[in-house]
Amino acid sequence: MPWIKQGVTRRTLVCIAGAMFLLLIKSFSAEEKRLTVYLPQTNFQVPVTENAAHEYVRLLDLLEHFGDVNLKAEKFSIKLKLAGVEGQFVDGAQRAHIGRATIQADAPFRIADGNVLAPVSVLDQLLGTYIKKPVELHASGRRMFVDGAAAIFVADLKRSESSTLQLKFPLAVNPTISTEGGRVRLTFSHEPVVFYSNAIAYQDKLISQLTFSEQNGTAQLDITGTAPLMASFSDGGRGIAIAAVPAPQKATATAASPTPPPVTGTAPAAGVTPAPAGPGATPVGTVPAAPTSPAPAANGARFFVMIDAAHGGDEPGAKFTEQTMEKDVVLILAHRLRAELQSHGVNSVMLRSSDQTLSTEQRAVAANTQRADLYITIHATLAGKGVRVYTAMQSSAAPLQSGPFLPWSSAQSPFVGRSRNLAAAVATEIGGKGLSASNLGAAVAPLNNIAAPALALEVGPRGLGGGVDSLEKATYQNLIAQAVATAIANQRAKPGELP
Amino acid sequence: MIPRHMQITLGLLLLAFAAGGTYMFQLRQHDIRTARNSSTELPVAAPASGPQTSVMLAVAYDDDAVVESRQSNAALPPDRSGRARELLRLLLSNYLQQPSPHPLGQGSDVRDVFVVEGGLYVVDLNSAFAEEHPSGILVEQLTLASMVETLAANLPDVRRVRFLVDGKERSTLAGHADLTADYDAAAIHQFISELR
Repeated sequence: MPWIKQGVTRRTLVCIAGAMFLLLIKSFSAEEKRLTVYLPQTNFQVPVTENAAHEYVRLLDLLEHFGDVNLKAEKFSIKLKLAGVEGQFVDGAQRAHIGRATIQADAPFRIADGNVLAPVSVLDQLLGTYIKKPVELHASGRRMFVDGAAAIFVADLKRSESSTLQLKFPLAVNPTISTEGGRVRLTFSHEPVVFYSNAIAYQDKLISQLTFSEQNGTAQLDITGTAPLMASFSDGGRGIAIAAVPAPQKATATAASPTPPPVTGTAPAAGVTPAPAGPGATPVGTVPAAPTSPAPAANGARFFVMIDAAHGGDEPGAKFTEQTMEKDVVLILAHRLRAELQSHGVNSVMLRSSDQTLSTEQRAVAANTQRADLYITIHATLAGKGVRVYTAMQSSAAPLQSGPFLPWSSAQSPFVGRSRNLAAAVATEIGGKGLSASNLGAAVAPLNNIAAPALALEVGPRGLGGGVDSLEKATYQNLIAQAVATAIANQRAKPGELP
Repeated sequence: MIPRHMQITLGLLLLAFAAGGTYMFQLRQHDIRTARNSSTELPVAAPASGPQTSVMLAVAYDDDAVVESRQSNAALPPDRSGRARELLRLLLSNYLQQPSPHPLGQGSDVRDVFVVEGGLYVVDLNSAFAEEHPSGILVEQLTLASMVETLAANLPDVRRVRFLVDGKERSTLAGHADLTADYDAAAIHQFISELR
């Protein structure tokens, strides 16, 4: 039966060709895994390979970006020397010795093609030991930040008839923007942007949710709304506004769904307008939902709280561990407080939203010139337990100054009474959450120089002897943020306490 | 020809001599280091000679976050500036011992105290005091409050205290406590009461 043989052969050939075609398609469509490494001035990517369900990076490819690497290969091990620090890696071993440090990995190191394959999960320890600088690894998103390169951005919802979500970045950004109906996606391939929360849900007519994710060396920000959205740049690329697509000028009644226009160009920088946020933002994910949301001021007043995450940049504050410093802990806490204030309908401004160096004088000047209605500086400590709320150590009987000028050293004097009332309310509210709280007068810089009600919060561990883990717990920080925001909102409702 | 057993004995003696010499040298070096450290870590205590007077020290306790009064005896110089300096050094010696109720950095000291009309005492701290001081609002406030309270409890004319570091103004002690303003003795007394 030659026709059968011929048919079988033909069918086999077709199957093989089809399989090869599918393999070819798959090989083209498979996304190459990569790790993005961000430095303060630049960034680069290194390929990631997979072996026995573990992700690896060729260590030489990574280290050569930080200087000349001296490689000595032996039969089953390799020595890599960078900047005078030598590391030894043995094929199949889960430990590596770098200088005097021993790095324990969750997968074995591999030697292949004269290079070391290092598990991605320990790259921060490896690189940090070699270059002696802080390295932060987001392993699941394959992003690594060297020497404080991470740039935290903030999102403010400006409520109006047509709300606008303002994204403010500490550096100019140029993300890839894609829109699809009521969703805008910003993809950051080269910018070291990070966000303090995975998702924020807004109780707003237009903007409903913001989600932040990291994957394969990039960061993605998705904003979903109830109507088609568009993004526009401002402030030289440091700001992006998400708003509704404007309605067409002429009713043509042809388009079923309006197509968002392309991203507009760079708009001139707006002036300092310290009233960025609107009410109704409820963070979800790492920050739990807030219980209440009082109505904003009916008169549309520009009341806002200036939140000062203390220290920053070259001034780290208390050093809790080799990796954790006060400046980092308080920045996260400040973001949480801001989210809680938003959910209570209270506007707020972050005095610093990234790792900036600011003197106490600069902080006071910023609060006074922007005419903050309330100033809160946040500190952290491992001493004691609970939260201590401080107000300026000045006599409330000090003579009040008349006229537009106040003495720098006693600018707080006219506000001490209201500061103390608020501090008592905050301490009571924190105590109501089952946390330890006290209320004291103390000479904390720069409270004396603030021309508005002013508080300093010093957050200690939940219990005596608690370590930095206790201090960093999201549930603990959220309780504090909720209590402070509630106290401020309640105090604001009392006549004569807060503007 | 020296017998073999004599050679071995001589070798062992030389070895023992070398080992003993090395050990003696190390002991001496250790003594020198200890003497040097003890001379720099602790402030000079009040002079041992002269009449002893009872003084009140306001000692900070980190664990309980309080400042408590403690009686002590010391021989103090007659002038107000010298008395203030020695009182503060006596207080600091409590903090620099081991174990310490309120640890300060090694080498912390008071360089001098200047008395200004109107009850203002200006305390000049050395740089090690500020550079090595633990960072935190409470811990810094405890240090300054205990110093102000100690001065006010023993020198009746103290109204305000100002702190300098190495003879210069400094914005904060270790990032928190404001050093640009005067510390009011009455306000500090109130602060200590609130801590209890």
